[in-house]
Amino acid sequence: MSARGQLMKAWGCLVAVAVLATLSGCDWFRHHTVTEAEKATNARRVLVAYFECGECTANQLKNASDLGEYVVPSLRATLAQGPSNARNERMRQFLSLQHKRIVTYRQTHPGPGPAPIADDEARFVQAFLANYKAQYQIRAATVLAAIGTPDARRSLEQALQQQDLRADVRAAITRILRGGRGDNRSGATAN
Amino acid sequence: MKQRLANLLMLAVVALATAASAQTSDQPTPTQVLSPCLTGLAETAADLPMDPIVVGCDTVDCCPGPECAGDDKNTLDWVIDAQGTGLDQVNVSFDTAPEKSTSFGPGKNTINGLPLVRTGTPPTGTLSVATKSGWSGPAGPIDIKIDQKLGDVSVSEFWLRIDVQACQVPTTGEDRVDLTNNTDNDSAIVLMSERKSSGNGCEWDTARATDSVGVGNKVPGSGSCKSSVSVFSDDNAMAWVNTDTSTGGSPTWTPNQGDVVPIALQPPLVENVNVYVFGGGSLDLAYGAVDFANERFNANNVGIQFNAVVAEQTGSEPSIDCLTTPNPYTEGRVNVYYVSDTNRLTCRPNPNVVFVGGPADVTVLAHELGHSLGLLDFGYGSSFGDNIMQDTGTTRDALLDGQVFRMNMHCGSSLHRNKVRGDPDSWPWKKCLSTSSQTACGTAPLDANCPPVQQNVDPK
Repeated sequence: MSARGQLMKAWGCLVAVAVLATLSGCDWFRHHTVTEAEKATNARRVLVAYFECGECTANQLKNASDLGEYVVPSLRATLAQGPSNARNERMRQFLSLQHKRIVTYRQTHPGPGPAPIADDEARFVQAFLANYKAQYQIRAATVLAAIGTPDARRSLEQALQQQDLRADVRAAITRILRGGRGDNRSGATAN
Repeated sequence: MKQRLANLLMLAVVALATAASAQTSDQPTPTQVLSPCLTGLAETAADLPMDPIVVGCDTVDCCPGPECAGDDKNTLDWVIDAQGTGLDQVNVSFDTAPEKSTSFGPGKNTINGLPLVRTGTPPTGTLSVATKSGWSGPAGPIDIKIDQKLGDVSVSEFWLRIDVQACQVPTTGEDRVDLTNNTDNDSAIVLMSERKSSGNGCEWDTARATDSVGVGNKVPGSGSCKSSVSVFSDDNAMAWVNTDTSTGGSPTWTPNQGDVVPIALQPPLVENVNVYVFGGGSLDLAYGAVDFANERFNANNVGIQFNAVVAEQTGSEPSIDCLTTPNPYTEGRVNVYYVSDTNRLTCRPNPNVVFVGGPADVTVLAHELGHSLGLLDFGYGSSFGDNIMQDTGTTRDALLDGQVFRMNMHCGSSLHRNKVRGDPDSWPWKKCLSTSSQTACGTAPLDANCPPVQQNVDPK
C-alpha cells in the first residue's frame, strides 16, 4: 500500500473511532450535543436524588449546586411548596398502605405505643407528609445556599416571609442565612 | 512514516476509549425489582406487589429550565418500553382516567394525553403482567420502563424489573427438607448452598415450602463449598442448618436420594431497643417508625423483632458523634436518638448507637436498624429502588434474602454484640462480604459461604 493509501486508511479509522465514541455517550461529545430537553431531564434527576436522599452524600449536594442559576426557579418553587403533587400523592399512598399493614400487624404483635386503629390513618399520613414537605424545603434551601448567587440568597430571604413555614424549616433557613449549614452530608455508618 | 501513523492511531484509540469508559452513567436504574420463581409464575404473578405509578412530575415545576414553563401544558405522555423473553402482555389501568387504560405486548408503546393534575388528586396507574402461556424458561429479566414525558422532557421515570428465578422444581423420591413449627403455614423460603450432583461448583438454590419439600438430589459439599440450608419465614426466626460433612454437620446430604433434613422453626429473635426522643420530637412518629420497622422486617422474613422502649428526653440532646458514647446509653441494646440535627447515621465502631435526625420519614429508623444489623446501603444509582437499604428513596419497604441472611449470620451484626442468641460462640457467625462493619469479626478471612446480597425470591 502507498503512503497516501496508508494515511487515508488511518484517517478513516480515526473518524470511525470518533463516531463510535459519540454513539457510546463519551462525555466530551455528549457535552457538546445535549439538547434543552436532555438538560432539563438530567437536572430533574439530580435535584430529586438530593431531595429524596436518606443519608445524603457531599457529592449529591455538589451535583445539585453545580446546576447553578439554571435550577434556582425550581428550587424557589420547592422551598415554597415542597414535593410535587405526584410525589406527594405517591407518598400519601405509601403511608396509607403502611398504616393498614401496621394496624393488621399490631393486632397480633406487641409494639412500643398504643396499638393503632384504622381511624388513626389520617393523622399518621398527615404527620409524615408534613415531614416529607419539610425535608424537601430544607434540602431546597441547602442547595440554594450552596449555589450562593444573589438570586439564590434572595430566594431564601423571601422564603422567610412565608407565614406557613414549619418551625424547623424556618430555623434551618435562618441558620443558613447566618452562614451555618442547612442539611449537610450524613454517613451511612459513619466514623 | 508507517510506524508514526500506527502510533498516532493507537494513541487516539486509547484516548477515546479512556474517555468513553470514564463517563459516569446518569441513566435510571430499576425502581422496583421483584424476583419470582419461574415455576408457578403464572399463578403467583398476581401476588407480586407492584408499586403504583402516579401520573405527574417529580419536581413541583415539572422540570428546571424553560422547557416545562407555562400553565397550558396539562397532559403527559407515557412512553413504555416492555422487554423480556417470557413477557406476553402488559396491562395498565388508571383509577381516575379509565378511558386511558390499555394492554399491549412487548416493545415500545405510548399512552398519550394523560391528565397532568397540578392540584388535587392525580390519576394513578397500576401495572399487571402476563407471561407467555406454558413458558418454561430460560429464566431472566422482564423489564418495563415507563418514561413520563411533558413534550420532549422526561419528568418522571419508573422501571419495574421482574427478575424471574430458576427455583428448585419439587418432584417425588428426592432429598427433602421437612419444616415444622412454621407459624401460619407461611410459604417459607428454603435457601440451599450445595454442590450439585451434576457439577463441581457450589450454587445457591431456592425452594418454597410450608412443611415438606423435595429439593432434588443434594450431595455432600467439597472444597470451599460448605453445604447448608437456611429458612426464612414470617413470624419465625431464620433457621440455619449445617449439612456439610467436613464441618461436622448433622444430618448431612449423602450421594443417594432420600436424605431428609428436618428443621424445627423457632419464634423470632428479640432485639431490645431504647428510643430517646429529644428536642420536642413527636413520640407518635417514633412509635409509627418502630411499628413500620417491625411490620416490614416480619413481612420480609427477617425473623427479628424490635422490643422498643420509646421515651421523651428533656435534657440537652447529644451531638452526632460516633467517637463518644451519647448519654443516656445502655450496652446490650440498640440506642436510638431522635435529634433535631438533620443527619441520620449508625455508628460503625458501635452499631448500638443510631442517630435519626429530622425531619425523618417513616422508613428512616428501619434503614438505620438495618445498618445496626450489619447491612450496607444500596447507594444512589443502584438497583432495588424500593429496598429499605436504598439510600435514595422515601417509599422503600422491601428486603432481600441475601440481606436477611447477613442480618442474622454476619459477625458484625448487633445481634452478635448484644448476645441476642445467647452465648456468641454457640452460633456459627459468618464474616460476609457486603456488610457495614467487620470490626467485631476479627482477622478471619471472608467466608465464601454467604449468599450474594442480591439473592432473593418473591413474593415473601
